[in-house]
Amino acid sequence: MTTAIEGVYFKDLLIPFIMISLFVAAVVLLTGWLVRKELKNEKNN
Amino acid sequence: MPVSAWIVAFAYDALAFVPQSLFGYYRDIHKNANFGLLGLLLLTAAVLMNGFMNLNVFLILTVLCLGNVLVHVEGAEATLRSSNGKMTPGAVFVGGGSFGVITGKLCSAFNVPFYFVVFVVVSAVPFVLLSNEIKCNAESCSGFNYAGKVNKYLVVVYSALIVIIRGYMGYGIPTSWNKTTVQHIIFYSAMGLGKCLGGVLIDRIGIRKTAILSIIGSIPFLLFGDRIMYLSIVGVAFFSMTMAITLALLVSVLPNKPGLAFGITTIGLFLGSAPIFFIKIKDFYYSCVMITVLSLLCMYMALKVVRNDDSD
Repeated sequence: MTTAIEGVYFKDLLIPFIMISLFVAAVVLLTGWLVRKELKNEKNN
Repeated sequence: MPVSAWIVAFAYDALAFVPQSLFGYYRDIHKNANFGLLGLLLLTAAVLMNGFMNLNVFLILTVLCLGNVLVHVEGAEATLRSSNGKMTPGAVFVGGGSFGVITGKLCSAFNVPFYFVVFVVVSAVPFVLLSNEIKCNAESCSGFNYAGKVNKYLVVVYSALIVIIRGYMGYGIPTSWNKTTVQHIIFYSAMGLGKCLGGVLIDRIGIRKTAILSIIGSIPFLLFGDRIMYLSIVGVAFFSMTMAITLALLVSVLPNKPGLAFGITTIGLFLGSAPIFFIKIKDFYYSCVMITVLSLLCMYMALKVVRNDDSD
């Protein structure tokens, strides 16, 4: 099964995609936690 | 595009866009950190490593992305903190990124030598020094007051979703006319000018009117712009104005953390553009449905969280 780019197959991208996804997920979660912390601080002030 | 180039492009987007929130947060806390010069140093090092050394491409990519992150965060901090609640400076700063993409595309198209790229990077040093000089020492961006009286979590979530949709539509809408380097330049110019214009309009006519104008105004142009360049670039320019709206909203609810607020928009941009690496809608009927539904969804979310233009 090919991707949107000609000649590139999903199976070739699996491992890099999983690694990048884990990195992105970790940063997104951490950012969400920081935003929550900041909004709580603002509310208390 | 060979697989390796595909992965490098995807990894670049992830590493250059996503961590900006964390570095922005760090920069928010450590106001004396000089990210700008350090970032330029890393960018220069990455270009030199690529030119002189036979190193792993992902190592060079990491240095390059880190440099990009630091310069971007420093620029955003300096611009937002010194703009006294006006959106034009912030929008011009972000819109300028499109012209950076154009410079990169030109360098690639003409296969310029790496020392020219070093020259381009080093030419930013005076601007970084200047931004340090003019940077306002204000503790917060309290002049930003664009969010309505709604839950702040809702403002953050809706703003992030609008950025994701904009990221997807910016790169995912069918533009079969866009084939040559000149056409790429026209496309990115329209995107950059739209972002800049969004900030100007917010300051002139208000955020709510800008939201309505940009989203409703873009729909007909985007729907029929697949083959007609002039329609397409007007649509892209209109829709890109939403960038200034989302940035204004996020800084309004996180006035003490403009770097973090800015980083949320860059995460959204990555999450929106990532699906384009895998699936691109080419069918006219589906693209019409997608553009209309996503635009109206953006409209609903934007109007839900922006303040009324006539309110103080």
